Amino acid sequence: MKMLQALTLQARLMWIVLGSTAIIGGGTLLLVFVISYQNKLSESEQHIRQLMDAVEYSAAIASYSSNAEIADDVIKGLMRDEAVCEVSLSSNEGLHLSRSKYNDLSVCPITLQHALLSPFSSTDFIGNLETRVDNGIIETRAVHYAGQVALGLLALLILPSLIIWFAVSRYITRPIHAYAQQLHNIVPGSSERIATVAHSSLELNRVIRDSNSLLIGIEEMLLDERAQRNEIERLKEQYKHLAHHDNLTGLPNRAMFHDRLAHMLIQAKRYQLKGALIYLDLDKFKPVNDTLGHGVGDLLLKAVALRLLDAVRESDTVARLGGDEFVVILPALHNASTDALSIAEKILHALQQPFELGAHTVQIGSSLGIACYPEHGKDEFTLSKHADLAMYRAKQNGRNNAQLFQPSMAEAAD
Amino acid sequence: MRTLLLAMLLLSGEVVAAQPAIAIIANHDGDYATLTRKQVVDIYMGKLTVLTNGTFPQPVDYQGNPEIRERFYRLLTGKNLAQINAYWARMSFTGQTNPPRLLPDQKAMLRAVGKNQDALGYVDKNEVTPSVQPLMTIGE
Repeated sequence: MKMLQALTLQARLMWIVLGSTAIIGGGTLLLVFVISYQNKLSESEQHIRQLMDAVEYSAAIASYSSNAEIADDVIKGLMRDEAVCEVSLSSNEGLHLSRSKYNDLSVCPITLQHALLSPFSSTDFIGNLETRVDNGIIETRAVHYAGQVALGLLALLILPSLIIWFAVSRYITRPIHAYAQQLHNIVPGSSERIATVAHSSLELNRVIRDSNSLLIGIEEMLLDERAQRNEIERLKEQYKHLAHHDNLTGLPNRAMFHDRLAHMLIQAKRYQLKGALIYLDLDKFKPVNDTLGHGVGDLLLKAVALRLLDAVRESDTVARLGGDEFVVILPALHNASTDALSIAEKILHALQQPFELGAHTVQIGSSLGIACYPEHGKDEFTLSKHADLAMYRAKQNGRNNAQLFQPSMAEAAD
Repeated sequence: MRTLLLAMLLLSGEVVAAQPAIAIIANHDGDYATLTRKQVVDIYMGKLTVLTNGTFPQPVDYQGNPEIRERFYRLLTGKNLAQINAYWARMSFTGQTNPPRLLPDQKAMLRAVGKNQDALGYVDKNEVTPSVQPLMTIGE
């Protein structure tokens, strides 16, 4: 049974039909064959006995009158049955006549005797009619007959089995198989559905309908889930952006600035590149904020951010550390101090231009401090500190200028 | 009840009277002293053609199936005339045995037996004349 469980429905059905047909049919066939065989055997013997009965009167006359010719007629008549291999007729008065087909009569073990009575006196025993029967021919006949009966029965047994198998296979197993195959091929959540199946039944149609309802449910569920996941992703991105960017200007914030700087240093070290860090403070921002209000201050900061982005290269990073404090990271410079100074000049110029903020026109300036990698510092902390010191110097120098870090600045600070 | 039984007896007596017994007859010189009823059958059926005392019996019968012939064979063999004729047809066909000679009536029978020493015949018992020797009676 365990073996059967691994088979397809179709194969299992075939084995059950074949098996039960073989077991039931085999037994029945054997029984029918044996019974038919026995019946035919005794029928053959009965047949020869009837023949002997039929010729009894002639045999009695032959025996009574010791007439060899009549006796021979009787014997020849009986010999016509091919199963008869010897016939002998004898009378009490010495007549003895016999004919036989074979010299060796061992194949003819059955002997049938018929006592002959006088035709004119039913009490007088006058002779004997004896027939020897060929067992082989009788058996062959019996086997032939029983075989035909068994064959007929076999057809009777096999035909319904085949019809049942065909019907079950056509109306049950094949439709189920077709259904299972379709279900197997469908990707969950897709818009594929199970089509109706040939020769399907009411039950299977219901299964198909319910399966399709489930598939629809699954698809809707997955669509919902996908939408939710997208929403979560979007929110995550948004929060990540918020965590790393300045809310007001959209520039990277302090946290991201540290990341970018660290990244720039790693790249520069690995590929032996030069770079620079610019610290920037707006001049006269506080008065704008105080006199024109925070709204205008915010607008100014946004505008500054745009001008900064405009002034630097695409690969540079502009970040806002807070208040009116900005930084610019300049990676991959050819000649660090010269290139950085020229970008700083560009920034100075850009921020000197008046800002149109609604009804107000505002003019500010900026103080920039530059520290170059690797000559002014090889790590984040040193570079930041030195850029900050340079900016401090720029402020001391009367604002609106850019200063390159000098070692003397560090000594002065110490 | 007694009357009925008596009537039946009388009736049966009348039936017997309507079918008289048959006498087997031979020539006065015929040597048939030890003849048995079975031997009579065998002689008439062509089986017994010579007796142990050397006599060649010559059975004589009637032609044209008269009533006495029917009665004779039925009393003797239990067969009817048709069966006896069929027997003879079969026997004659083989050409080995001949049926008894045939005579037209009982008078001819009495005359033939009276003249022929080995002849055997049969007549109604009441027709027997001194010209023949009655051997036995059947049908009594």
